[in-house]
Amino acid sequence: MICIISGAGAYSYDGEIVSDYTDFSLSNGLEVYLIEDHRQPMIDFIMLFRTGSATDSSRLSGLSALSLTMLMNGTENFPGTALNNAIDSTGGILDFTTLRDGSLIEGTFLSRDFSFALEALADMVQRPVFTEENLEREKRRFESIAMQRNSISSARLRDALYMNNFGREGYGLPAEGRRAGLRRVELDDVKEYFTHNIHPDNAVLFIGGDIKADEAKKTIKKLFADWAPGKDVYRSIVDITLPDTLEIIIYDNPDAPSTDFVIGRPAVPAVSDRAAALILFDYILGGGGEISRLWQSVVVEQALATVIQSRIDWSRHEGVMMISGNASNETAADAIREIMAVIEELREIRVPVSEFEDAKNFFYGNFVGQYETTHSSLSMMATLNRLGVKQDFYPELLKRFDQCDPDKLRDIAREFLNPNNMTIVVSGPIRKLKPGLTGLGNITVIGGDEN
Amino acid sequence: MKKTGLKAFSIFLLFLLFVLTVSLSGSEIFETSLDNGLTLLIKEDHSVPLVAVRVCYHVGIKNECPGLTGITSICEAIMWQGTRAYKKGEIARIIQAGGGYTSSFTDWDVTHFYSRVPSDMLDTVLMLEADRMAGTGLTSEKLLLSKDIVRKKRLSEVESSIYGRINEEYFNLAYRAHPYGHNKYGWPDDINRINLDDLKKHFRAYFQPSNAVLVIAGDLETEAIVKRVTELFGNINSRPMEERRPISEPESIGDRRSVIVADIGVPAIIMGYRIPGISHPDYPVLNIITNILGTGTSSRIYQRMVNDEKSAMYTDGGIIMSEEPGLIYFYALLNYDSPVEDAEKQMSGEIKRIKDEMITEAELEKAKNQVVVNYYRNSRTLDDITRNLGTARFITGDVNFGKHLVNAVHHVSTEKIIQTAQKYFKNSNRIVVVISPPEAGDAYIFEEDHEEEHE
Repeated sequence: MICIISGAGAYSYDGEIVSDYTDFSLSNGLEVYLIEDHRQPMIDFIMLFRTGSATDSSRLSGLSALSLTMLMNGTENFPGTALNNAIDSTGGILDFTTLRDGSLIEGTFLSRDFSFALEALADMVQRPVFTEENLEREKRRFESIAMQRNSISSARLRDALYMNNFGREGYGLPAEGRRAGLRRVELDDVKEYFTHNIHPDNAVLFIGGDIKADEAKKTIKKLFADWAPGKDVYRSIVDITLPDTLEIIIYDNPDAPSTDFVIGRPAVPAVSDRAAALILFDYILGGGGEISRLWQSVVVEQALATVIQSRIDWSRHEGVMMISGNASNETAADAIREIMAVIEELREIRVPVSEFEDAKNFFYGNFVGQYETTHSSLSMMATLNRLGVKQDFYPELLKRFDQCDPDKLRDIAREFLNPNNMTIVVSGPIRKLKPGLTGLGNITVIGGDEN
Repeated sequence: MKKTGLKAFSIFLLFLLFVLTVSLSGSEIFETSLDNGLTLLIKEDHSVPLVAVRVCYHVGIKNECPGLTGITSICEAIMWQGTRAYKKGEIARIIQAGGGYTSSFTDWDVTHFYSRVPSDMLDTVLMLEADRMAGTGLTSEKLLLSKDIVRKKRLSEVESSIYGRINEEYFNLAYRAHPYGHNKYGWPDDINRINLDDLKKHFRAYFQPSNAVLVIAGDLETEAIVKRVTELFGNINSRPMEERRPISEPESIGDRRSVIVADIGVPAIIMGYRIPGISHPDYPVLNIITNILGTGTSSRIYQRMVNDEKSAMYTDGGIIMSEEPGLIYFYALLNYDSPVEDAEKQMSGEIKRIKDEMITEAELEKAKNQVVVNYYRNSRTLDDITRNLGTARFITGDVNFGKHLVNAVHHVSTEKIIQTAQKYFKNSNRIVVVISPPEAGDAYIFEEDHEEEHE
């Protein structure tokens, strides 16, 4: 029997946060969020520091990422490679990530190793041992990472977009740093970074899994209560430059088999009251995958691109709206023009109510999925904290959707999709790109022979 | 530590790596078959109001003959081009409007169509999937559209991505006879040549109930779902299945090597060895060997190349889990100024060492713990569960494969490690790909690098 389904009805949300957690603070300022979840014999933790690569100057680009990694290179209780060996011996996993507005140490262990995992974390953040030999090795690694990253077209285009909008310091730099900056980092810089930024009143610990909350609290207090509060943290450098004419930067890559592109502009911080409308709008524009406007128009109907999507890089400082994609060299310029046409249409015309309701319903229904596992719950909680919003952000967001309508989305489109405030960065053969993009905006060509 | 660049390189190899697991605790798996041969697997989990639904067809790259490479991906694409009841795009729209997500992929042995939705959408998804199985029409127009989709995916994921091309080169080198050697998007000439008759033959042979497993996990009631699945899927016709004749990979008389000149920013090396499929008794031992040599910052290759010799910025290893002949591999992204020849000797040196010297009990214990943690990490979400169950059912015949693997590794001994390493780590069984940067002046130079050189 086949039934025709016309579409899911609106999803009602009752405002509850799915994950139940305990939170408390130590007297030294360390905030702790704790989830009991006995579905698997595992524990996860995320220690978030509210300082990231946005504090890096161009002179010492990469300092924050390098300093975070140095925590893994030995402590007073686990010198040298003893720490790595001890963690690996349990089967546990440790990851270090530096973002623009925060730095994270993430761990996954069997629950039987809970005490050891926290001891290792406590040792790393309170008693690291920094040596010249380890620093030189890490600097060389990071330089190699920077070079490898540079070879990835999409990463390079994103870096260029950020640089064009936020300059060559702090927020405008890639989190992993640039080679010249990495080379300049010295041991004293790492120690200074540690002193100023890796301390409990700049940190939040999210921990969850197969643990008893009371026992976990005792262990956390025992291991972290004596962690001394710190000095003032490094200041983020966020310098926004909003273009007043459409800028097009073309990286000439004559042998590229296809063309990559990114189109973007600064958005708003996550705390903004316009975030809700922007999220809905982004979903309709290109975040909704193959049902989105951009995919339907540029990939399916016009067959001008191979892939396309939009997204918002949210941040505590300034988010970035971007549209990214890939197209054949022959059709890339036309794909970009078609994207601008879709944007223009959304600035002029209200989206149909059905499309608007579908977008809202996606988020209503998808909410629960964000908290499916302990790991995803902790990740969500850490992200919300990093973005400077409260833990009830998602339920509040869904309520704010109710205050949105297609007119509000059109207002958002008019503000944030003004072509004059956008930057297009493209990588492909200049001979095929420039003729098709001439007249669209101010063109700058980098590299190669534009003749 | 994960960085964007490492992620890109890791993903192209690590997407090959998946762990087949089932939860060691919690509810058991319910299994039944309908009269038309469709297998149904159900796992209840009421911890969150979500369900995951997955239809797996036992067909993948291994079922593609020369001349018809990519045909399974075309079939996969066609199943999104509209059905008897839903026009093109409607399935995704309905699921997303309900708060879910949906997608599909083809791999070496199995093709998956999967969704995760709020639990009140389960019936909707079952109706959609039943119609997709029964009501996908095959027309020339849909074939053209689907071929175009596959061509674009190949352009985007293989030809425009140096990592995609390296991946393709590696597999092409590893498998001379076996179909695993070609990319899932096929060779361009084959895609161009495939006609409607080819499509109909392949589709009708493999995309049918007796070649399918329907896996459902989450907030549901088993009895009610069995009844509903029988109503929706029970009348879909099956066709007799032809028995597949497996293709073996012939032995080489020497190792297979390739040097790729490519700008990935740094040199790199991939070294792998052919191994049997996942059901072979040596598989648990090979899993342990992968961990000792390649997993984590205390692994032998990492310690040697990153910490001691400082030739690499990152190393890793993995094992392909396939129904037919697989691969164990190790790779290193080198520091920008490291000579590749030295790096190859270092990696080979560690592989030789595990053949010549007994590993320590501490190393063995570590490797076993890593298997256990990996098992749990890869069976957290409902999506993980349905993927693992569906794949395990087909390529091992054992839905509890993951649990049995964890038990099996506990019995691996240090003696068995040496024996197995000696059996498979032979030059005649080895595939090496070296990625070498272009000559100076040929590489694409980013503007910032120009500035930095002048500082």
